[in-house]
Parts: sequence; C-alpha cells; structure tokens
Amino acid sequence: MLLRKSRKTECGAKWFLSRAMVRRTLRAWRNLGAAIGMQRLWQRVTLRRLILLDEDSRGNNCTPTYVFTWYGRCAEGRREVPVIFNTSNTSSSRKSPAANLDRSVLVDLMVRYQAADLSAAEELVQRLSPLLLRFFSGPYYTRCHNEDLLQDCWLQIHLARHTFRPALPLMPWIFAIAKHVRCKEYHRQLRIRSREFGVDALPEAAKAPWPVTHSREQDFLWALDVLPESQREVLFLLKVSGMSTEEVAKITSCSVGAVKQKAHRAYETLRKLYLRQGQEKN
Amino acid sequence: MNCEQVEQYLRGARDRPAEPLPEDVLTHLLTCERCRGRDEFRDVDLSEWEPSLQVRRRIRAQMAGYLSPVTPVPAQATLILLTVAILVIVPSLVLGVIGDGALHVMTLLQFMAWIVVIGAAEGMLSVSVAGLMVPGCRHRLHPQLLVLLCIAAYLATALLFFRRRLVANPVQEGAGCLLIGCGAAIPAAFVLWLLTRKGSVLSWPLTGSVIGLLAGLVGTSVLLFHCTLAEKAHLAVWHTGVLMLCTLAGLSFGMIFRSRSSVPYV
Repeated sequence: MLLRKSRKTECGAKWFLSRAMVRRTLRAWRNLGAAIGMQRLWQRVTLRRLILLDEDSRGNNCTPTYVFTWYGRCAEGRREVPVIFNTSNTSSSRKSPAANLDRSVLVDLMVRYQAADLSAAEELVQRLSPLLLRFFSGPYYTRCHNEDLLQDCWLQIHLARHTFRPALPLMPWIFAIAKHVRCKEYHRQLRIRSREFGVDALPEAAKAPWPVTHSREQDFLWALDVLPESQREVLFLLKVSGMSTEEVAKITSCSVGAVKQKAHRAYETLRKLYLRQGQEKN
Repeated sequence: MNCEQVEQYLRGARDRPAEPLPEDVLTHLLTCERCRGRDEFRDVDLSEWEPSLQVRRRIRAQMAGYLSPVTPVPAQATLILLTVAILVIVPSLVLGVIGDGALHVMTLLQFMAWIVVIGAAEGMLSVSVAGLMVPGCRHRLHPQLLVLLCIAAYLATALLFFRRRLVANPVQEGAGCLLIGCGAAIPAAFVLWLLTRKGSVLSWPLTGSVIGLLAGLVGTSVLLFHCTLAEKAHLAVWHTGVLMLCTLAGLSFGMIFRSRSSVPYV
C-alpha cells in the first residue's frame, strides 16, 4: 500500500464531506475547549494533513484513512509530535486490510489467548503485527525503533489481556494500548531530546593513566587505543598498509588536507603520550 | 551537513516527495546509518512491513514466558456497582465511628441540593473509573473535564444554597473539617485503588485524580452529616478544599506511580 498525499479529486464528494466533517468536529471541540478554559496546556490538536491509503500493492481496495498529526509545545516552541491517529471511514464501500480480518475470528483468538493458548497468541500476533507496525511507522523513526515499539506494545497487550471483554470489539482495545505505547515513547524521546544533543564527532576519551607494561609493542597498542577512531584509521592506512595520502583520502571520503591533518594530530597525540610516559618513568 | 540539518531537510521534504535529494544530504546519508534509517520511510511500500523473524521470536518468547489463563474483568455495570458500594459503605462506617449530628442545621432544600450534587458526581465518576480500568473504553465526558465540573458544581452549591454568617474561629473549625474529611477519604482511596488495580490503567495521573476526587467526595459526604457549621465561606473554602486536596493528592500519587511502573523487556 503506497502512502501518498491525498487529493480532493481522488475520492470525490465522499472524501470532501468526511474531511469537512472532521474539520468541523475539531473546530467545535477547540471552541468548546477555549470557551470553558480546558485547552490542554502542553498539547493542542491541529489538523496537519490528510493522508489517503487508497489501494495496496496487491490491488486490494482500502478504506481512506485520515492521519492526524498532533503538535506539542515545548521550550523550543512548536514541535511536531509524531502521534498519528488513523480513523477509518467506515461508511465507504472500500475495505481496509483490517476489515479483511474477521472480527469473530479475532475475538475467538483473543478468548483462546486469555485461556493461555500459545498458538492463538501467535496467530493473533501474526495477523495484527503488520497493522500495528504501520501504526507505529513515522518519518522520524527507524524500522528497528518501530519494531521495539511493536514488542513493547505486545508486552502491554499481554499484561492487559484480562481486561478484554469478548462482547466488545477487539480493535479499539488493541489500538488504545498501541496509542498509549506510542505516546509514552514520544514523551521519552522528548525527555531525551531536552537533555541530549547530537554531535558530528564523538569527543576524545579521557586520558587514562599509562599502564604498566613490559614491552614496547603493548605500549604502542595502548597508545593507539587512546587515539580517536578517525585518526587511528588514517594512521593505520598510512603506516601499516603503506598507502599514499591520496589513496587514503579516497578510501575515507576526505580531502587530502584532512588526511594530513588527522595524521598530524595522531602524531602529536602519540608524541605527547610518550613524553608523558618518559616523565612518569623519570 | 550534520544529522540535525538532515532531519530538518527531511521534515521539509515530506511535502515534496518527488524532489531529488541534494548532494550534501546524499553524502551525509551515505555515511550515517541513523539518517539512512529515517530516510527509508520516504515513499515506502507499507504493505511489506511485516515484523522481522527475530522480533516475532522475541514477542513469542515474552508471551510464552508469562502465559497463564486469566479471567476477564467483570462487566462495566458490575464495576460501577462495586465503586458505588464502596462510596456508600466507607462513609457509613466512618459516620458510625464519629457520629452524625448535623442534619438539623440544614434545610430540606440544602440537604437535597447536597445529595443531588454529590450523588450525581459520584455516579459519573464511578462510570469514569470503570472506563479508565479498561483500555479503549469510550468516555462520554472526558475524565479531566468531569473532575473540574464536579469541583465547580460542589463549589456552586455551597455558594448558592447557603448564607454568610459570622463564625468565631473559622480557621480552627475549618482545619477540623479538613482533617476529618481527608481522614475519611484515605480508606476510601485505598479501597478504590485496590479495585482499580484489577483493571489495566493506561493513564495513572488521570485515574489517580479521579480516584482522589471520589475519595474527597466520600470525605465531604461524611462532613455533610457531621459538620454543624452550615456557612457559605466555611463550605466553599474548607469542604471544597477537601475535594481539591484529595484530587491533587491522587494526581501526585498517579504521577509517582506512572514514573515507577516500567515494563521490563524479556
């Protein structure tokens, strides 16, 4: 199923009416919230974009799915919150992959899962995981990250499985937990971002005291370990592999000047280390 | 170009998917695995998003490790009835200990106003608690809004139905009511918390504030039958203070509980 930007012409009046309805509802909620002073302090919902899941790669028709993006407020101002809510338009004649899953079969699997049937649990995981993974997918997360979220979600589902009532539909229950997992992860990421920042290169490691060794080779290996990765790589290619500066520049995707600078810094670091060793011995 | 600049570019590039990536972004993507991972989401075929075998194995292992038969939670009506039973039994027990001698100080209208407001608040909050115990349960009125409405209704009743008169020691009288109200709220909050643990609460701060308010209503119910000072300011400040204090306490406990409850990976 291809994720692409929606256009008004693709679904015609039905889509337009639904979008208008959604906007009206959101505006009404916002006005009500503002009127009674109940607007959330740290978040406010804004209809950012509508993404239409039109047809999947196997040619199955899918329900148009509206994706809302929330905006969060933080110290840096307005920041996009990657919480996505998919609300399927059930009035449409098209069917989503979720609709292909028979409700009674899913509920039956869930009931068997509650009775500790591992095969039912596996079947449920197999059927619902692609939907959940799609729910967790976002432009700023890697696939590994999404799979971690999926695992966390299934663990939460496992811990909360006794709260599912067979008389009620399964999907709202599952996706309420998935939404909670995703919101929790977002807040965790927000906390991390507020305290950490990305750097291009890792800072140099703190200088450890010179170890007591009995051979010059061991001393040299220790000194090499102290060097940053990029300098060590250049030194190895220049002095051990015997390459020229131009060849090393091509391999490391750097300019010749940068290679020379890295090599110079590596020599300087090694010289200082050996000088310090000499002073300590004296 | 560093990772943050690439992230900013990709954020803007979502609106123009057909545009080719600039050379400096491509150069960074060639060297940075983290950003390559992000970029794979552009124009990706989502139907092929099956979880990897390794992840499925991990999920299976964590399920198999703790798999045991469970009994589904009772129906919502049963949970509501249990909550209402707690809200009736606990004040009755407390009143049995401290005594009730305040009914004669109120008129029938004032008494009925209290009963209606407290009863309606307790009923709606019981429904809300029963909904908060089950994920995905629909709330006709958001619990956050409900909490504020209940406190506002209580305050409005105190201001509208009672008169202002002179009190000899307002702080001393009020502090006594505050202590009795909060004291009666503690056992109610504990029993309600035990009941809530039977479900699976997703938002502990919200649930904590609702439980706190319910416990506060138990405290004010006790004061309704025990406090002989039917005065506007006293009711608005000290009796409503019981509600606010209990709600804030519930919210704080909920936040502490949320920060301490973490799910271990298997």
